[in-house]
Amino acid sequence: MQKKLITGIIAALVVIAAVLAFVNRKGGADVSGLVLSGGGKEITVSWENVGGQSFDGDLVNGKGEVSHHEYTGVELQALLQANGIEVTESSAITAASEDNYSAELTGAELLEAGKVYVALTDGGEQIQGIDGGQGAQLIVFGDQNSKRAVRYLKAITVK
Amino acid sequence: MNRYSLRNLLFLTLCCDLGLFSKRLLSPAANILTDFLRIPGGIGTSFSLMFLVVAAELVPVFGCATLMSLVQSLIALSLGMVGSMGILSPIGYVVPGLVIDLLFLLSRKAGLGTDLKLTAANMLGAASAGVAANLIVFRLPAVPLALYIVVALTSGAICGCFAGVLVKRLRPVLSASAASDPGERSASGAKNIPNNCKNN
Repeated sequence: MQKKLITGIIAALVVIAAVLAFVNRKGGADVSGLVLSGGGKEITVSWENVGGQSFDGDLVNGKGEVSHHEYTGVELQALLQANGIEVTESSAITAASEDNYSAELTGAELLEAGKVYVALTDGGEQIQGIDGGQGAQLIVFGDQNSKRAVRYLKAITVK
Repeated sequence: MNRYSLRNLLFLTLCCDLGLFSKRLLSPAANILTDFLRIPGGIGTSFSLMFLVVAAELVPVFGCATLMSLVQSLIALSLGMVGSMGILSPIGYVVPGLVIDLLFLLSRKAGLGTDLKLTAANMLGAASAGVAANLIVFRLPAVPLALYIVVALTSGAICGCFAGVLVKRLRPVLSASAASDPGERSASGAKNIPNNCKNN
């Protein structure tokens, strides 16, 4: 009697697990894009929908060398706003990469026009993700080094 | 039989270590399945808890599983085997131990059969470990969390059945061993050494 009950429980759990696994894999099917979190919501914006605005500017690397770049992408503030995530001057923003590198930004920096961008191409060439394919890079103009130029950009969190 | 006999304490220690290290051995294989399911684990923990359940059944002392889980957590901390829970990892060890002990206590009152009791203890222990890990570290969304818990329950049920088999095989061995050793010395009986010496 006990063995039948236990077998029944295991069989029922296996069926439930199979259904949940199907839903989980289907729902979590890799939507390749940028994950935006803030204000209690999380949105994944596919790379195609991130934006194609052209912008250019000078970046300074760790050695103090200045290089000029021409990018396409989107200003981060505009992207967050378009997805209903509000940023104020007191907000704290974290940009995280696929390899768990992260950089901090302030709301004031983000609200400054022409300062913080998400770039998808650099000099006409696709910026690649960590496993190849489309990726993105955080661009912060005006920094004295490239520590916040987060490659393999994956997620932006606003608190 | 003295509940705190040296034999029992050695058996608890063995189960404690087996539980702790078998998880490490099983994890690479278990991770193949959990990675496919996109959940952070659940199978290795169930297997690890099987040894706590076996020990709690064969050494009928209330708090046995909690004590073992506490020892496991201290060993894990001292060896740096803290996993993703970091310094909070003792919570992940002690919570299932408490759940197993509570279930054994309740099962005595409810009169559950041994197999059902072991299965339920392993299932709920594994599920409680999953819930604790989720609260402390993972913070999974609803569907992955539900899958994580169901996988923990399923693997817990299967490991609970194995625990039943182990208990059936080990109980006669332990009983025979106890019966053949009338001069069994309790670990807490160090103060009785003079009496034992007199007997000898």
